[in-house]
Amino acid sequence: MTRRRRLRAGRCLGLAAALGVAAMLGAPGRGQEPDASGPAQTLWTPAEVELALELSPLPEPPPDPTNAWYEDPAAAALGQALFYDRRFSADGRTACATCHDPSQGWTDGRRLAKALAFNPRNTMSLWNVAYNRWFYWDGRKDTLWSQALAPFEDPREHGFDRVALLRAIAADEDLAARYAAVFGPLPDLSDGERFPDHARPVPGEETHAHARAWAAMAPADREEVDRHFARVGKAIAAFERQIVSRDAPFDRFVAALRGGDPAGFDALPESAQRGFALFVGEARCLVCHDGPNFTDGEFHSNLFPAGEEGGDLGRPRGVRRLLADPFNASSRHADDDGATGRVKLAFPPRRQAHPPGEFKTPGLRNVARTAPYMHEGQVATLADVVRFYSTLEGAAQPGPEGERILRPLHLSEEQQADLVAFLEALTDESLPPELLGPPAD
Amino acid sequence: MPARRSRALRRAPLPTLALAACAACAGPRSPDDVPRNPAPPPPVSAGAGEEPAWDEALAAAGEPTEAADTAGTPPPPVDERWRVAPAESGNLAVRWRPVGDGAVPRNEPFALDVQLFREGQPLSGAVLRVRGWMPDHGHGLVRQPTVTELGDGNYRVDNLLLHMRGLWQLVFDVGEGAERQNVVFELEL
Repeated sequence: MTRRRRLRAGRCLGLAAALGVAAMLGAPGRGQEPDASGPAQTLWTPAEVELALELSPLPEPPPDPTNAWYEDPAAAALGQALFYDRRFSADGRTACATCHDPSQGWTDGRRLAKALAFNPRNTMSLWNVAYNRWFYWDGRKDTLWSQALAPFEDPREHGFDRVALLRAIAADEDLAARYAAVFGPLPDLSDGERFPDHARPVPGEETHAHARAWAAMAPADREEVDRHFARVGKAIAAFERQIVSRDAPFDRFVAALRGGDPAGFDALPESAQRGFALFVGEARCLVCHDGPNFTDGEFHSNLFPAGEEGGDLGRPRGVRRLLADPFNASSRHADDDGATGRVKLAFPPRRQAHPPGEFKTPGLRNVARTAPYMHEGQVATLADVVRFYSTLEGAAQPGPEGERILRPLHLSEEQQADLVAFLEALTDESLPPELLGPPAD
Repeated sequence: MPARRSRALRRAPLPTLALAACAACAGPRSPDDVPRNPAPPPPVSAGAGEEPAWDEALAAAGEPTEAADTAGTPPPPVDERWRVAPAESGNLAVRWRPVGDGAVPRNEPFALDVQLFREGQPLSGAVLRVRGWMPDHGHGLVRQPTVTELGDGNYRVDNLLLHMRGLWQLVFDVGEGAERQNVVFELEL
């Protein structure tokens, strides 16, 4: 035990006592024999125990004031039906679940996303997606419902458009009834003069047939379509909000430390306990992967060399796209009159951006089930991820104004294995089975 | 080096100048090349007896306190979360505390009550900007704080978000006319 560690441990003993965590008081430091007479069941120092208590349990997902239906069960059931439905795509075979496959950790197992075509980035898992502050690797969306809209119209994903989407929902008796029960009836899109078969804005491609059709529509009709399109996203968000993981072995262990079910003490092998101590200590993972969802929710450069999409700056472009997004949290489609957006979208002036880019810190719950890793899926396994951060071998040079957080950790093979053991102890894939496919009724 | 920094250093009393210069050299990186201040005094103590926190804050700022005594208004309630520090020139002081009852939170939005003083008197009409910087990380804030002047030297800073654990520098950039001065507080989250 280093002097520094002893000092920190001493400082938090008061808190430990105040919390009444009996196990903490008997917690031996590493290198000490556990006190066989006490309830000590952990290798952690009191300081590490204190951090563990900060990181578990994961609370309920935060409210989303921009989505008036975020907790509405009927909206969630509608969203579930839409999520698994393959008809809302140019090929009639692509659903949200095509890339966000519940049997693959709500991602696709691919390096780069592929639906109708390849995407330049790795598919992000939907585990605990409702906890996100930002969406996509570059944060170009600021609400879950707004994120859910974009893939429908991305030619590499669903390749669909908002008018066709609403029309397809209206044409399905069950979906139309579910929709009407939640949001009121869909608009009558039967007038082909007012509502073309396919129409959407196509930024940067004003001559695209969909863009021309969209521009030819009356502003009030476009507004009506947008209002209902946003609601489709709000229903899907209400469904995705239920994709929560917070009963991992780590959580059961921490619950036992709090005096809960002592069986939880068996949940975390010693290797994983050592891995946690590294995670919050020497390995400095906690610097970015902080909080009970193991992310700060913001953007950093991990110095990973650019892959096939070299020069992808990530966040700076994401900010520009977000501010220009007609469905962002300050838009009229947000159900809180833009209150959330006025706060979230106040960005400081950016310094000049340089590669390597900045990308969102992903949460680590169920990370062992969402390989491959990094924004372009460049890393195949968790062991490789840990090795990269340990050596920074092959890392890019930070930009001249880039942050300076990473440094080589020089972890031993055993330490690296311990870290992986801890990351694997963040796995909880238990969900009500009825969420894993279209709604039954 | 920006000219305004040099001016500030020239005006500073000698001991402050020495401290500021050393701190600036020692700092790994600083926000927008803002000079680091000497270590701020400890937070105003709640156990000040009959001495109102108002006076103690100004005393800590190294300024005469008669103004507060003769202001004719009761001192604000004692709150040991107030932190105060002078600018390098010595005649400007900044005092702040988080709005509400809590401490400065990590990765949650919060707001600050700020008071500015010039020669011990509440300073109204200043252009206050607030920046944040993590010297050990080499990055600043991810949101833009907004400042509202409330009158009588009181300001409110909203939309602060310190998104990471570690050492932060909060920079209060106070402008009066063409003159700008920075007061830097360090904060371990």
